[in-house]
Amino acid sequence: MTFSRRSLLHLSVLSVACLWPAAQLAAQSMDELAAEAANGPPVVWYESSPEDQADAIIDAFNDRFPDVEIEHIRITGGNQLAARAIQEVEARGYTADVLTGGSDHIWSLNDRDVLLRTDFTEIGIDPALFPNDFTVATTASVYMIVYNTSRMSADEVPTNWDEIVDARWADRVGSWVRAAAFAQLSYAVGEDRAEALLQDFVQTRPLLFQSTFPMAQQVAAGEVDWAIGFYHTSQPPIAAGAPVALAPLDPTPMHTIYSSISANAQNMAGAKLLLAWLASPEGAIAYENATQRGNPLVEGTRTQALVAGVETSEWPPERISEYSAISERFNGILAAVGEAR
Amino acid sequence: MLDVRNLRVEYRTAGAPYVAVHDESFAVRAGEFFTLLGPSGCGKTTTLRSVAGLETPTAGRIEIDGVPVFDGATGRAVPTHAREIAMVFQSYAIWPHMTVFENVAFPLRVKRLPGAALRRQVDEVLQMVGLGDFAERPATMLSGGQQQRVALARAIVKDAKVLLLDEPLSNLDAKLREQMRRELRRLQKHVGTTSIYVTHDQDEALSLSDRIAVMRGGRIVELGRPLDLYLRPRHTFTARFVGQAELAPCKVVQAGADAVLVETKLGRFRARVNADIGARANHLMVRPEHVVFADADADADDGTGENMLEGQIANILFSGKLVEYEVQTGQGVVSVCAASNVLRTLGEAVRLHLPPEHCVLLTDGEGGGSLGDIPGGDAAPAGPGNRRTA
Amino acid sequence: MSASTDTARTRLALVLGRWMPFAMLGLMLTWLVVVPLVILLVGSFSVTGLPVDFFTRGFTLDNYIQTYSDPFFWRMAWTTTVFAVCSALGSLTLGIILAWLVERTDLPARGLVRVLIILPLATPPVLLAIGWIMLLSPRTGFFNQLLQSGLGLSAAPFNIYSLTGMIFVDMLALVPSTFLILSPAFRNMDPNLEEAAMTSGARFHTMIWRVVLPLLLPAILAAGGFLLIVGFLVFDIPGAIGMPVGIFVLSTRVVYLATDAPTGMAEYGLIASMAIFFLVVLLLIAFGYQRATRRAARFVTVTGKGFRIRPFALKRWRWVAFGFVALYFTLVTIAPMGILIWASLMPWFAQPSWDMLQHVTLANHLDFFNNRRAVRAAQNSITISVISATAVAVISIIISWVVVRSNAVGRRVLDALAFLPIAIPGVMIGVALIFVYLTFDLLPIYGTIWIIVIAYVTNYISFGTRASNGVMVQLHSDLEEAAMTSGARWGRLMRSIIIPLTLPALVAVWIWVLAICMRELTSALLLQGRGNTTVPVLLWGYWTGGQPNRAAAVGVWLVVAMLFVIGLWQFMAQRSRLSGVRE
Repeated sequence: MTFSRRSLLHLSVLSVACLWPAAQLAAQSMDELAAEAANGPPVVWYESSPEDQADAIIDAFNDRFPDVEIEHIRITGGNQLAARAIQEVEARGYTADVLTGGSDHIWSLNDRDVLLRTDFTEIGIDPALFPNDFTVATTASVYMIVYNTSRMSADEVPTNWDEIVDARWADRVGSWVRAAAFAQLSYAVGEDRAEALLQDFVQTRPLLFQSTFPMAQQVAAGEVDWAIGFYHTSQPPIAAGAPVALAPLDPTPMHTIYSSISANAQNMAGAKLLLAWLASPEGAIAYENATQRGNPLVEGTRTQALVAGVETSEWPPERISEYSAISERFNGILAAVGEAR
Repeated sequence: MLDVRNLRVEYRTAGAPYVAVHDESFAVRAGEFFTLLGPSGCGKTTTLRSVAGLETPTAGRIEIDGVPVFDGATGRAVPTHAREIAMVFQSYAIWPHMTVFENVAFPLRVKRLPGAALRRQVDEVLQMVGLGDFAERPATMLSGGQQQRVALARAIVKDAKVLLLDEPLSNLDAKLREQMRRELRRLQKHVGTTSIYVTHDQDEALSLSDRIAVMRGGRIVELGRPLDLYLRPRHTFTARFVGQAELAPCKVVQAGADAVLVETKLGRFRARVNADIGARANHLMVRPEHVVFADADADADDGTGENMLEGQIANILFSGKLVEYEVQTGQGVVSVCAASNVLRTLGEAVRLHLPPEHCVLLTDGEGGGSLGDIPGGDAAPAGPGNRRTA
Repeated sequence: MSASTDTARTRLALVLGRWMPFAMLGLMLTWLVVVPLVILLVGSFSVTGLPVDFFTRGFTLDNYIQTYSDPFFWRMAWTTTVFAVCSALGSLTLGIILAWLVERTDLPARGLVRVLIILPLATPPVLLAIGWIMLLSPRTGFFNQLLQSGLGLSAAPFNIYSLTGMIFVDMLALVPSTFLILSPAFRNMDPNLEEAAMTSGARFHTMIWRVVLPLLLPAILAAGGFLLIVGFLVFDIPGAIGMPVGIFVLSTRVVYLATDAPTGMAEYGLIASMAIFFLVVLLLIAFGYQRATRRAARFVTVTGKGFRIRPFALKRWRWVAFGFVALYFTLVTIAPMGILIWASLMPWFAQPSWDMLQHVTLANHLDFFNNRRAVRAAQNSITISVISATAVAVISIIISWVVVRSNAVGRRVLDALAFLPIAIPGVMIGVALIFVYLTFDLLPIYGTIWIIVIAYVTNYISFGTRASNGVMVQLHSDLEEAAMTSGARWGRLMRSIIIPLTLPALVAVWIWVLAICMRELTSALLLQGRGNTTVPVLLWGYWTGGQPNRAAAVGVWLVVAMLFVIGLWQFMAQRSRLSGVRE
């Protein structure tokens, strides 16, 4: 019964596909996948966005594909995503269908053969979005200067890295407790230069925050005048009308966030569908609207506009181990802020 | 009713095991009021708790009404709740979260007695102990004596074969203690339950008990009726512990069938009590109230000078009923108790007579002795098996 | 022949009957405690810290070498020790004073005071820390600004961003727990003992020092040991207050290794090897505690001689004491709660000021109630908390009974087993449970609320047993033996005597576990699956999603829920107390 209905669907889709221009191929593929996925279990997606943001993404997805159920499970901290997925695969043979995380997490999952290797063009994904056959860039975290407009005017905001680390900011700055911005910056400016900047930055005795979300709020509260934060984590206070504004960094460090399909996805068609949709302009914009984190590689996103004409700095994913080493070392330097006091 | 055979209780300690009760045997007859008397640490409470099943003995055998409840040989140990016993604790162990009624009703509730019968029995027992009007009071709102009665009522209401009482009166003041003692005896007679009573108070033991086992160092030193233990103790320990005693080490000069002549530092004395000990006797004892002033008793002085002492009154202790004199003799001080009808003055020269029928021969109890192997346990003065252990 | 087999059989039945409860208990505890512990050990010798890798990739000592050769680790260990010891001492001192005032004296409004002391328990520590930052930050702190403008000071008088600040906030955060452990012990103490001291001519402070404190030593030591370990493991407060100025403690390091290690994998191996350090510290504390309370019988204070609780008359000190308590509440309850409520009414994070008053909004609260996930999360949280709290209370009292009362073989081991889980970081319990319930398909509870319940029961048994041990030690064994000689079996004994007599302590444990489960995050986050989201996870979602004001709103409702529970408890306690005295 189900078989025959599905084959009928296949037939109809195929027949329509023959008539439609090539540009519509991807869309057709997605519908095809959707039809297949509708019969499978819910598509489980490990990702780090808060539940209500995830709900917005899934709502947008279900507007287009009402029959495919997505189950988003929030895993905060990509490291735990990797650990959990590996444990699940080792113990019961499968994990979530789609996994979203930083390059370091995705690569360590790939080392464990957790991820599906496939040609993403077959599901209609723009080749510019995938660096290899196991992962697709879906969003990016872009560093920016977050500042309190009632504490400083726009023209006081530092415009380059030398000004950022200037001694005049002593006791007025905030930073994420991780020195990841400087680690990513080192790709563009070189490790020595990035380290020198970081050393100077430590001398300004920045307040260190566990997460950049609360940091943006502390900028709003005036606890620090400005901080090196992320575009997306600064949006909530801005949206709430707080006296917070953003200024670009030059060069702009960033982290690309990748999504992959797990090799033993329980609903393979659904997993492919979700990934293809997230990589499509429609999905990318929905993703960005929900989470404020967009894909700079997809036309029409705000993030793309944000980085257009700016020099970005990010270690390519295949050189992840170099980045990790620098990051670890830089974290140690920043942690010495206690001694700078 | 209760039969304890070769009971032995050891406690594991860091070093060698501490033996709280050495091979101890005794039997208690139905309806008897049996007391374990001894100083603290003598093993009396441990024995009682072993009977209750609150303590697990190392070896031996305990039977209640013919039912073995503990047998070291087979490892059988009936749990406390299944034993036919009821117990009154030194601390009363009144449950502070219950009313008087609920405290007393507890054993019956455990038996799942129906409500009406339960209420009737509890009320009856509360009346019996004089707490009829206190049933609904929180147990914590009672005086010490009242709590004692609640504890007693709770034990009585269970209607067990054996009632165990662990120093139940020791927390009461002197007056109340005396009153409760009388009441306890009355209740026991009334209820007729076999009772095992633990105390360190010899007055209590003497006035309450049918029989007393005197304990020391985990052994029964002597076992007998209160009268016998007082008048005819066979061991120095018993003599000292039960009542006041004038004791002197002695050497046997001449042993006869019904009298023994002994030499003490106070002189030579003829003793008729426990003459069967004969040559083994090493102490002479006389109760102070059995010493008589020779001038007040015409029969005292038979002219031979035997069992006579001379001295001066060195100290007088007046306690109302009795007067205690300390008489300084050439060889030492002798205590004499006399009625207050004739009063002596300090420094007065007196002659004392120690009647031979009140002079008791004793064996030295050091190292402990046991009458435990007397079957049935009625320690008649001439009973066999007065074993001496060095 | 048949007789001897009969006796053999009865003997066996007897032995079984006597040991079954303990054997069952042991098995259950083993399952709850030993399994995570073994996995922790295995993990510490595994390359990645994942137990599976130990079995597939083999044994390594690298984790230990890397952890313990790092001078940074030892610096952090020292900071952590100072932090833990000082906050434990501080909260013990405050807890003892408050417990004594509330339970033993004629302090005015004691019922209300009790509620207010416990209330902050439901506040997630991260919100408490943030509240204090808003009050005492040198730049924008409300109190600092008030004092600066009021007194014309040139610099802020307080700086929350310091070790002292961390200790201060942690100390205050721990007081409710301390109070809950200590108050039953204070309540159960025979007032005659105090009176005996007074009539022996002891002055007030001599009485406290020589009689009250020594008598309560087991309970105080239990609380102290517990607080010390919590101090070693607490993350939120050092994370929010110490981290901004580069003061790191071991727990912040654990979180760093779990979430931010640049290798892309949570460094469970390093975490596990570090947790071994916690375990050693804990075992030392436990050992010291057992040595100190070895002669527990000495401390029996609840005897079968009923006593009336006569409050100690404070006389002219009554209002001084009340002033102290009032000041304490202003500091610990009203100020942070006020800030919390303020934050929940703000559209973004802003200090209290007249200017911001125009921005007051109920949006955060409305959001919470209109969120379809919130209802589900509240249901989950209530279910999980009630079940965990009940399980912990029941298991604790049974364990305590076995440990304190029985002479069962291995009861010391049992006690240690019950105490140990506290040293296992929540992250590692999570990892262990994931491993166990994924690998062995015994119970299909992975991703359900039940796996969270198991994590909580495991974690909080240590608190429960500390509290119930203290009370059990105080309970005179005669009270039990009287029940046994009255013919009561073990079950009846528990039901009619032990549980009612320890009920105040049990309820205290229950409330504590309930409150902590209501706010616990680490395990709940790690074990999150389909549909077992809890309120703290939701709150965390808001917090990390840049919605701290919504998080504050959830926090306010957690406190309201807690207020309701504690209020109900006090109401019932009051009623039972009244009915007991009415006759």
